[in-house]
Amino acid sequence: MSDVYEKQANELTTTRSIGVAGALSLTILLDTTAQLTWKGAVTQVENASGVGEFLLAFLHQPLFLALIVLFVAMFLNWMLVLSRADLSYVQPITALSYVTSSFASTYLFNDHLPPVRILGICLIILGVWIVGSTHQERPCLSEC
Amino acid sequence: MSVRMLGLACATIAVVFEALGQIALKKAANRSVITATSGWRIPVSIVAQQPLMIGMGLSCYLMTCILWTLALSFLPVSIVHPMGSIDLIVMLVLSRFILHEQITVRRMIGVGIILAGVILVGTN
Repeated sequence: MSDVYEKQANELTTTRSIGVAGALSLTILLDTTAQLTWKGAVTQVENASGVGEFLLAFLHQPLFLALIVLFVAMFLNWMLVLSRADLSYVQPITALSYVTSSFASTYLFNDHLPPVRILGICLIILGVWIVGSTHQERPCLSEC
Repeated sequence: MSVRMLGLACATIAVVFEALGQIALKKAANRSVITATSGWRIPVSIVAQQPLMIGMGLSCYLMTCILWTLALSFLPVSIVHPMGSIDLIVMLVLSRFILHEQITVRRMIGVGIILAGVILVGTN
């Protein structure tokens, strides 16, 4: 009987891990999209003079509305992530959005990708791999 | 106080607020009793159970946004951007001492390597 319970527990852990990985991937995707949208929205109102005019033009952007939707989705998804794993596990992994946004802005805005930045990208991926190989969630030492 | 100092101060306080915001959101998640197994019901139920913590967390984010924008107006991006990565260290320390999470050596090494990578990407 205990074998059956153990198998069920293992399956549950695996399902949760896949859930966390999926939600984290969505976090990185949404984060990258939000950064690019932000950049796009700012670029379109660049020639505004003064802070007031800039803000007004920014708030009237269709892209600004898209940003609000993105932020709400990011918040809900992030709470899902936090309900399933340690903060010190998931937070460093979100640094992957530096990698995706570097590639995306190279592709979309023709930004230059210098060798030092490629080295940085490799280090981030290595670090995320190391953090990712630790336990997602451990029992708290005392009150959480 | 010079413009440079003012910018550095804004960026530093922004980083602290961001970390505190994350801690508040994680506290809200930890304190909630989660009965739903998946989907959007989980975040919605956390917000319903811990509105105060969630409110505090989101307020911290708002402060971060304002301070970050101020910092960017005082200093060049190549200085402000890598400063954001200090966040990784602050978060690790606060996770250990406020949330009582177990930080293993492996996790610390991983975060250190990510930090180096983020600084390289941010300054180049």
